[in-house]
Amino acid sequence: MGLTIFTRALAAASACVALAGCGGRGLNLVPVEGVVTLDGAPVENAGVLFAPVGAGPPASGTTDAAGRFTLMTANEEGAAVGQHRVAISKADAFGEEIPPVQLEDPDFARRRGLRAYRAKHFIPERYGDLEASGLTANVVESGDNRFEFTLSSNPR
Amino acid sequence: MDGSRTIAKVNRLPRPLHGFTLVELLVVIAIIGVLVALLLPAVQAAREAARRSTCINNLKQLGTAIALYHDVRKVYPAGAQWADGDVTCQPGSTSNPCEDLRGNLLIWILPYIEQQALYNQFDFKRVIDGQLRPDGQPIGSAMVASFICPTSVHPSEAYHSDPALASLKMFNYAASRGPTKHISAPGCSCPQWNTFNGLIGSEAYAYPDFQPHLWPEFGGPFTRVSIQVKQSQITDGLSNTFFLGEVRPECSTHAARGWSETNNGNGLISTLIPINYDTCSQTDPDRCRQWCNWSTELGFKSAHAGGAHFSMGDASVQFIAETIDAYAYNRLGGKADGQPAALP
Repeated sequence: MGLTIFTRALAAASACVALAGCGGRGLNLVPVEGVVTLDGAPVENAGVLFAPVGAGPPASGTTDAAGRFTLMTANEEGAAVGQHRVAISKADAFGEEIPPVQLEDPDFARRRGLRAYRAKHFIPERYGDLEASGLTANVVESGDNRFEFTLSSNPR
Repeated sequence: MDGSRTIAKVNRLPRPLHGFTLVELLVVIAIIGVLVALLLPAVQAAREAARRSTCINNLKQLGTAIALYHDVRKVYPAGAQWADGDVTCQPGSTSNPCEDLRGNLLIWILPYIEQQALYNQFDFKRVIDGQLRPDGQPIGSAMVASFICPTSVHPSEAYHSDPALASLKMFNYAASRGPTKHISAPGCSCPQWNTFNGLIGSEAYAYPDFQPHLWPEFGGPFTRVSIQVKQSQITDGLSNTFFLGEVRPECSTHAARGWSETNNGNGLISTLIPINYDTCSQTDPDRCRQWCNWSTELGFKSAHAGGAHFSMGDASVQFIAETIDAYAYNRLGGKADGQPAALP
């Protein structure tokens, strides 16, 4: 049945040719994973953001119960090769209601029945700020792209 | 009798007559299969190219409509009037009442896309949301073809179980609030809300919706708190500033509310969220991937592979790739950040 094998190969080859246009987005993405701990304990449900130094789209991920995360860039697995600044945040936007008297314009807020909230941060707020976090990562083309971020409740 | 026997005899040739063998048939079918396999993607691509062309054309029409609005009124429409931006308004007052929920940009540009009749059905002295036609149907149950990108595959209505929203027709384009911070929903909180806000670093704006004194601070040309900007305030240049971009109702509780609802993402969609960030799930354990989070759902998203279309202030339409540099993307979103970015 050499002929059927030949036709199968031909069909497979043509399918590859037909689908070739779909591959490749021009981004050099490599799988990245890691762990986030605060004072030695894993942090669940923290957001991790890798922002490339230079140019490129950011990669992000969310930690699981063991503090582990994997990164995605848009909807593709991985992060771009190169240096990144890293921000890690776990915060509730509706953490604590700000009493109207503390607002810039208390009369307006009271009149409109507006409620304002202060975010509650479960890990120090500065880790969530790309400029101030002090966290970086170098994602390499081939090799180990596992990053461990050991955070402290009292960052220096 | 004799004649028929002769014919039968003539047909009995030395080489026996027979049909195609199985192998021959298989080869023919395989060849046809290969040809179809080659052709089908090309046909699909051509159909998608046609849909995309319509999609771009619609966006161009809406961009032009916004420019026309400015020509007539000397000011751009607000993204929406979810809340009255006038801080002196008094609820219940007769002289200066607070006019909340008074429509969005898509409604206000209807006269400029030849939909004056639809526009006239609204009573702008009342809350816009839920207004009915004389026949008892919501005004928003009318389909506006210019608001739909044919590439986007979704039912034309009903993403919400709320019966008041069920018959509302969808839209695929929304006004940009640019790089403006937003919070995440209680009960559907994406922990990324805060880190994505950090992408603009020192140019950050605070959470304006819940702190009225910050309402005037929004990075893009549009906001949902009724504040209108003039052309002269787009100091980064009209061709370098996003006005409208694509959205997907099936991926955002806001964009799923139909074109006639005030709080439908117009003046709320932000460039802080990467293009096409997938929030189309309603069950993903990662809340950042859910459509209800008020954070990553409020980014520009399209059904096109690899990016999304935007209408700039000069009504030119650009395809921006998902791979765009995060900072360049936010500078293009900002109307007056002082750092005009060139289109990639």
